Amino acid sequence: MNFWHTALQWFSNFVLVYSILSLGSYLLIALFSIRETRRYLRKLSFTNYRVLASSELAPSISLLATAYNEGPTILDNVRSLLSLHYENMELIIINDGSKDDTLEKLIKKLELVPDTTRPCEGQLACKPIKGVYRSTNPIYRKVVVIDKENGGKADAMNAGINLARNKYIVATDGDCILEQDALLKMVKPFLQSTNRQMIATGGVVRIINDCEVHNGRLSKINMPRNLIVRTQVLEYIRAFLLGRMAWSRINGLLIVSGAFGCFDRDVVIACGGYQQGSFGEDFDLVVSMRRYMEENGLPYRVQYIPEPLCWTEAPASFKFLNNQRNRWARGLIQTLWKHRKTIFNPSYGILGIVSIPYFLLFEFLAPFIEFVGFIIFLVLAITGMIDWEHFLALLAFVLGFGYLLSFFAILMEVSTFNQYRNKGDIRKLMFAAILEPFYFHPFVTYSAIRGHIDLLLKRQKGWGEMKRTGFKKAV
Amino acid sequence: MNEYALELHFSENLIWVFTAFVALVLLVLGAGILIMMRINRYKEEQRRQIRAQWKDLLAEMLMEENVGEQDLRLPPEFEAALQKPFVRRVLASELVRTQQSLRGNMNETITAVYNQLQLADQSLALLHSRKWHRKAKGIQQLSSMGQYQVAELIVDLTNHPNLSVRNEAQLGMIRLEGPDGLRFLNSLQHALSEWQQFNLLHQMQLYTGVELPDMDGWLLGSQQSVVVFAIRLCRLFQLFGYAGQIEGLQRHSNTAIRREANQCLHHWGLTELYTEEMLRKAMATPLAQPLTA
Amino acid sequence: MKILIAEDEDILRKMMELRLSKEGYSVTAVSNGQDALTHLENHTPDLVITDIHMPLVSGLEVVGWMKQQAHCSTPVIVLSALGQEHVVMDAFSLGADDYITKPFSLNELVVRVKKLAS
Repeated sequence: MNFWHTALQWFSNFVLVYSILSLGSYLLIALFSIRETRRYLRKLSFTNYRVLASSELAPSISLLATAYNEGPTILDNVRSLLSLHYENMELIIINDGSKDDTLEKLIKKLELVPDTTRPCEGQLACKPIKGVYRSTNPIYRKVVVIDKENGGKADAMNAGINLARNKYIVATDGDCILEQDALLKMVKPFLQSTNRQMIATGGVVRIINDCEVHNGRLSKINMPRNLIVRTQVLEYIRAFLLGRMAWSRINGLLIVSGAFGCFDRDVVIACGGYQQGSFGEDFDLVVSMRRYMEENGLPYRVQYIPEPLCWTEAPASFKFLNNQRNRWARGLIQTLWKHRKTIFNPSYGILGIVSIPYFLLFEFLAPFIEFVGFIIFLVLAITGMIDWEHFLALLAFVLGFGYLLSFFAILMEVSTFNQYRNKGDIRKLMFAAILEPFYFHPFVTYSAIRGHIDLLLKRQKGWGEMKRTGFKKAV
Repeated sequence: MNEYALELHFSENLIWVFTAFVALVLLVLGAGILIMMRINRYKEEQRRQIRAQWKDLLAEMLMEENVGEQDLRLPPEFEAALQKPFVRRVLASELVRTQQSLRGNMNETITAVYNQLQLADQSLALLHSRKWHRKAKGIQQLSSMGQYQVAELIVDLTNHPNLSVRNEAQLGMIRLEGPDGLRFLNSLQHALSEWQQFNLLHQMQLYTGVELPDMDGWLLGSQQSVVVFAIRLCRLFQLFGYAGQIEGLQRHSNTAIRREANQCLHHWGLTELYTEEMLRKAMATPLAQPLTA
Repeated sequence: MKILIAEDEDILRKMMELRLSKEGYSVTAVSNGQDALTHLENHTPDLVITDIHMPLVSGLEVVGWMKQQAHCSTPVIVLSALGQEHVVMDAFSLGADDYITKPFSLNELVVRVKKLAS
């Protein structure tokens, strides 16, 4: 009995120290992020993006969007992407072997003809390209459509990068809604860096469910009605507002969302492009690019733009949420394993000493620690060995600290971008924050663990489909 | 070993103290959120009201003929409102914003209204503020509104440690003095980023046709970003007279300068466009034939 | 002669309104594209001046909508701070009749309005 008692004490002490450490570091990060975000907002008032929009000196970019079975929405998506403010760009739509009429619709509406001037081969490996098209209509002269065999998101992106002609590439999903100035804002850091090469920039991604979209533009922001989605709104605000700013500041940012990111094309090609077969190809790309720069001793930066530039749809049911989190977990473990060489390796600088270990200790290990803790708690509760007072104290502490972070994030949203302006929106968000630890968090933890197990057992699983519920279309 | 473990075991009391503390901070935060929302809403409402109240009056003042010649006569309620610093700040930025959309003699009219409302003292207070964003705003307002008397204050700020302040000061110099404002380049200590060069060139575009100061000092100077900027200016203003100097810069030790010089000459049809490899080699062996006068 | 102005900058809108009224036109001014569309559903102005960059519905969308409706013969002047080639091209291909880049002068606007009105 004595042994068990000691072991239990050790475990609970460990949990407490772990919680204090992780939550404490979060709090520091939060304070820091508030300062930086406000700074960014103030700077914004002195920035005239028009200068860049109309300048012939502006760097050329290739905007890449993949499409798989998006027949019903593809034309709206193209229209929306073409309306972005940027002169010096080409828009490359990659039809990843759609089984529906995606390509036919594009050909008909955009008046496409085969383009033989672009070589179909490039430095990055990808599935065979069936055809490259350009438009005969001058309104669509920026559009290039690539038709290829199905190979998944990473494969399609690589095909697009191969054919892209411009210095910078911007990756996006066909069904994201981008802010009109998004490209300008993403490109600006590349022009502002004077001593270190900017290799990637990423902006804030927000959730579009229940928002109103008019002609491919966001016209009204609403708080999602579905509680699962609303909790994800909170989750996104917390992750983007609190975490990434600090990572960017110490130049340790590892995630540029696959939904919207801008990259230096040469570096992307040099590091091998998107990893085929990866479940977290966006995470992997940034790590690979950073590794390439570190290994070649080149000074570089990855910059985060603390402004909501991209709106995307979030899973609205437990089933699709489970698919998504399962996939994220598999992507995380794959990437960490692939880049295991960098872990605690000082020759990789911040990447090896801080960023990767952080993902290993907190992002990867956290679900397991929580899960083990829960199992131990169950066993003890059943065998009647639990010290209830101690347990309650610990629970209250951990819960309280979790709430602290959520509320901090909400405060930050309100004091910076303040996008949810309907009456009661913020109250609903606070309510979602209070409920989160009791159903949402255990569920995503469970999904993550299932993801790890699925990967270890080499269980074949696809990307996990997501049913599009569509955002509310304004009439 | 066992004893050590027990020592580490945190007492419940300690944890409860922690928890209480966390709960307290939570309460403060919750209150903070609510207060912040109120403040936001209030400020926004205020700003909206001021804009709505003043827009017609300002537009009428701006449309009047010979503005600034007669004394200012405002309705009493506006006269009183004008004493509030917040109102003055909103008005100054509204005028600057309007000016950005208009061209020609309207600019002078806007400046006249700005002077008539005596908003310069407010902008000057911003300029002297210790907060960088206020300082930058002050520079923006004073330079857009042609307050020439502050040029010397602003030129000192072109080397300010804060990026936004010095960028705004550099632009301000051009707004105030046109091409002569470029004199800040002579004492520039920080590199000009590509972004800032865009902004400066954009501002300079208003003066195409005006004679520029002598470029030799900048083209042959030691600040590499200034050299690049000077080449771009020559290109924008079609200063063919400097082709000889720029030709020499194709063999500069800095690749960016070589590339820029080559692109400029190519744009003028004076040389072929170098490939990346030629650019790399260009320093060692002169590629192009020297231009004859 | 009736003119509709859609422009989101308050002072500028008011100034255009005052200036064109002084020239003898009857002017209606709205602050966004949505209001412009609503107005166009119930009225038939003889000329429309619209900014491109506006909240809710952009000026280009207003032009595109007009040209497909009963207003297809109404001349449109597009105002924009984006002096980019492609925006100008898009505006004309949608059916705009004239294009003014900001910063612009009010006198220039009046001249162009007069030309289109005659």
